[in-house]
Amino acid sequence: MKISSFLESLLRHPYWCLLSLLALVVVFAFGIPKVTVDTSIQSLISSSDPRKDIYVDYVNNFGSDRTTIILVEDETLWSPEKLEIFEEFHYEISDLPSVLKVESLINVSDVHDEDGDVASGALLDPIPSNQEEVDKAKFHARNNSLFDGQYITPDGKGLVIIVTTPSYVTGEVDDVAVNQELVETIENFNQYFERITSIGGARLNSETNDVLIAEMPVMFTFLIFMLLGGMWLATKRPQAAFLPLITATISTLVTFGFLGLSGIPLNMLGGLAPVILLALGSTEDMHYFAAYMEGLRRADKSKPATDKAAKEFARKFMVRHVGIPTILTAVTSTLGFAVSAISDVSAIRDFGIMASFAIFANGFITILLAPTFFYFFGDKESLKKRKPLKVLRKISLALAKLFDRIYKKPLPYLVVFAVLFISAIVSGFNVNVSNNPLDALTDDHPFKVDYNFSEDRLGGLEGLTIVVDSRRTEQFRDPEALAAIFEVSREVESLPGVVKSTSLADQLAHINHVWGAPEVTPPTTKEEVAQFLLLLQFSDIESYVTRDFRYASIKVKHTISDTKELLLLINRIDSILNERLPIWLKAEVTGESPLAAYTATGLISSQGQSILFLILTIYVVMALIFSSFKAGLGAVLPNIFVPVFTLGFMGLIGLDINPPLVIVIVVSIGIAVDDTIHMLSSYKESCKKISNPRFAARYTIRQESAAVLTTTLALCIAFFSQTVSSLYYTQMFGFLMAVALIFALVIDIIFTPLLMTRLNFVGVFDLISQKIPVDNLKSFPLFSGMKPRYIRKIILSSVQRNYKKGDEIIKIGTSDKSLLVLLRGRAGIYLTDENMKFRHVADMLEGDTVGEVSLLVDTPRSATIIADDDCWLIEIDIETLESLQITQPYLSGRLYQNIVRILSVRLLNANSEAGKK
Amino acid sequence: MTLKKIAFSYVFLLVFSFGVNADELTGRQIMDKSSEIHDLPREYEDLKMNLFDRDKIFEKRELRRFSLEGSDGLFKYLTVFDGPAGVEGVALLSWQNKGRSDDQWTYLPAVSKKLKRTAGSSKRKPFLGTDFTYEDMTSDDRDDFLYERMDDTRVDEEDVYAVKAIPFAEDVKKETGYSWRVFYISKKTWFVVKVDFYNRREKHEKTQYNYDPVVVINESMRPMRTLMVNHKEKTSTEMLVQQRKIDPEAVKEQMFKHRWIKSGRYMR
Repeated sequence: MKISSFLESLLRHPYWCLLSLLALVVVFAFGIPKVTVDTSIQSLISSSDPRKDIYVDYVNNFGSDRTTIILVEDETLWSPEKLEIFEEFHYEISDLPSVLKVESLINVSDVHDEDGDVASGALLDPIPSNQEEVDKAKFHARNNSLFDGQYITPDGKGLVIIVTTPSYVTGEVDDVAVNQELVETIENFNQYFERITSIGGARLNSETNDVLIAEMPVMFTFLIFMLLGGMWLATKRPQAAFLPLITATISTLVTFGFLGLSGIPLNMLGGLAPVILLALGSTEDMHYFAAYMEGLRRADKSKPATDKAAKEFARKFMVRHVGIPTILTAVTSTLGFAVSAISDVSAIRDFGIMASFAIFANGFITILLAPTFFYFFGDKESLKKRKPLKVLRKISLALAKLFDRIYKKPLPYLVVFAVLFISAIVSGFNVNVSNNPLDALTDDHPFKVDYNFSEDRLGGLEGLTIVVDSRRTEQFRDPEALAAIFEVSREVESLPGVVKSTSLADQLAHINHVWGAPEVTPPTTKEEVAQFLLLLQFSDIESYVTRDFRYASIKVKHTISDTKELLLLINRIDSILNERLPIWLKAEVTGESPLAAYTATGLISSQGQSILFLILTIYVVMALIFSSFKAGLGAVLPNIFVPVFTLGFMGLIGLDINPPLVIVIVVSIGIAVDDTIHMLSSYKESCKKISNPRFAARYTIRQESAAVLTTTLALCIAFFSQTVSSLYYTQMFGFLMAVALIFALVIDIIFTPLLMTRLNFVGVFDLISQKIPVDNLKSFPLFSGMKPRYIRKIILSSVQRNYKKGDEIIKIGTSDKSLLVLLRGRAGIYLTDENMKFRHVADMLEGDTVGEVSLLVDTPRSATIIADDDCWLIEIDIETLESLQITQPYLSGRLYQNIVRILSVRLLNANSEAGKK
Repeated sequence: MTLKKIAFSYVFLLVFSFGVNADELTGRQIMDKSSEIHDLPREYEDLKMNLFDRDKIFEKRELRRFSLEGSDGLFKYLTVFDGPAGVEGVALLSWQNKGRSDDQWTYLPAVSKKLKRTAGSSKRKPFLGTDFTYEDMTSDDRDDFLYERMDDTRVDEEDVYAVKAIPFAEDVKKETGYSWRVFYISKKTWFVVKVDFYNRREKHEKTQYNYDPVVVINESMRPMRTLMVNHKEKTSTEMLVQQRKIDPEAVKEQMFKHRWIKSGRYMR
């Protein structure tokens, strides 16, 4: 079955369409309860990065590094009574099922000098029974450099509980459940302390999930109202707003069902899916609406017998004009988003799979729903008031005029455009790459507020780890190895942004000092090391050394959350490692945030490749559609400009790019390609009626710009409304999408038509679908020596004209720079006599051409031609020829050769006639 | 032996002499009987110690342990390390105190020629990185605990009494790391074959198994192998007795003095 026949069959079966949609929704509805959410930092880390293996090894060797920092503050915290409650709080947390380890002054060993004696053991185990002992414990806690800012705030007023929970590396982690346990425990103790602040990956992930889930319906509803308002303002018809709303709702349901059934988690990017679907879907639906209204207008002209007949005419017109472009845009957009599915960053990969499915589903649903929707709810007649707003028509006219000016004198505009384009590229290079999960939340979110508070109180919450492999077991019992990591640790601690750097060597140096060494330096003999280690519990050092003493770690606490600055810090640490460590020690910087930062560096190149693949896909599809490589190139250009300008804009306002914002680039291409395809399809339609490419393009602008302006206006409002979100990514996504849409609008309205007129677009579907009796035409003088496909191409590149018997084909004296070829039928050539009466002078038969001279020299028509029968002609004007010269030079040459031959024969005949006379 | 202990033993014997049925014994009576049979005033053990993480040994140690009961009924302990390399000569001296923290000194020969006093040491603290705490390594004063008899049971096919020991004295309640312990005492030999330790959160944290008991003098028995399993950390510590002496020549009062350690006479 042909695509067009299939599309038209949908018109005849609205109830079947509805049933199919219902069945689709029911099937996928089963998956909705199974949807899982993943906003973890792991999803933002590249799985193929070899540095991830180092991190996995690190977690396997040293245990989980996922920690939650609980800061407890109270004016009377340092009293036996409050410390008893603090101890209870410590143990309540350690009893939680998902907690692996809890560290605080309750259980962390301290070693200090006490009037010549060595005191060791946890300072608050047991809890001191009187204030004097409490003050003593506080004094020693504050004086232990390893505790300062770690277990006690630098001012001594707050105490910290560090909670370790399972790592993603060792299995599935339910951060929501982990956070819930912690929150409930904290709530139970809130009454006893002035403030308890909890900061950690589990809370961040859980609360990002909460915001994502809680906000999605609200933001979607808000978006819908904005879109409805925008559409209403622009069209004054409810259908224009409700069709996108229904398609987007069904598409979202089906997509979420797909996520549940396939086990793909919803992530921060996926949370934007309803918005994207509404955006892309409404663009498509708006074209349906515009085509339906145009169908009604045409039906009014032909005065159908009934309203029903008018609706049927409009629906058919709509499906014929928008059906295939819808399939094309769905296919290209699906392919476009599917590109992200090859990403090694799971958040982007999952989004790619989700979005490509969503776009495909949206296209499918639109194709099924739109004809049915208009069957039930379509207008019955075209009324002027139902046309887009007057202001839109005025803008359309102004845009058409602007295009005209550019068309006539393109150079200055192109220069300005080129300057802007180059500036955008330059500015785009200034865009910093970021991959910080903390960016997901806005500054006023409680987590961010608590984060800033805790950071202020503790002096730094971020962390990374330097893992040192000695390649020999027991090596880190050796003083030389310890001295090396001690030196590195000290030097790292002096770097800007670093608050503290600790290692096994630092711990042993502290004990050594307490045992009488004048300086805080690690022990210098193997015996000293062994004897100090004997005094330590392994749990005191398990974060710093493996059981076999082959691997050691240096924990670096810092204040840097910005990706660029973090990468700079990592580079500095790498330099220290290269300079300071002996060659038998191999060290790497690892941790969740360094990995996310590494991913950021690869993000642009990997996404650049994806976008390149997307553009290539669009190019191939376009080249196939328009059966010309040059045309493909011309059609793909607008889709490159939009992301470049968007990126340039980001650079201009100093906005960092991160995984969620990379999606803006892809979606902006998706929207641009959608409008491009519709513009090109509409232009092809216009060319069938208007021979002059400039006028055809102007006509296209006036026809399409209302739809494009309407969707852009409504979507800009809708996207801009997302800036009220509590998720920073959603805010920025909305803002940037609105900007990208404006770029897409300008480029599609101005630049695409300019390209259309310069390049020869012959639709491949036209070539296939239109029945052209090429075998008969081969003998025509104009097509002499041409292959059938060239004949088809010429016919389809030209304006095709159909006349009824008695219609005037050419009027004497008119000035049209075009050549006419009679493909089928018969016509009479007439001159007028003195009494202005027609005198038949010759017949025009199939294959005959007229107007060769007018085409080349621009002279008025010398005769009138009237159809003696139903006639099918093509009209080739000078601009079509010029366009062919660019796109098909060989074909153009052949055409000129045939025209010259026709003219030569005609000249010879004229000479012969003259000779006879 | 303290007067109080003597008095209790007297009462205990008196009760038994009237033919009290074993089923009617209280927890305290069972503990007293066990103590009566197995407590020794002095002891020397030559031990091999294996530290396990799950089932894998990650450290082997060799040590000697001396204990001596003073006239006040309080014990003194000395632990000396003979291996592995690097820790030979490390010594830990501990003097039990009544109602306050024990006095402890550590001697690290590679670091200092002086014994460093360990200030404010907690009995809950792990004993040198093992699964034992200092309180696990010392004997209890039974007056500080309430002994609650539980249902009799079987351990390794042996009928045992189960007695729950709950800290009673305020200072012990404060210092101990346990809410209670359950002692499993052989009905046949009155030997403690197993102890379950419940931490301050009332969670079963550790179990001590006393394997291969041998008679050292009269009816007094000692295990040849002791295993302490930490259920939470999944670690365990095994102590294998290589040699044991209980005669006065093996353990002398002077061994628990600083001078004896600093002079190096404690070394093999």
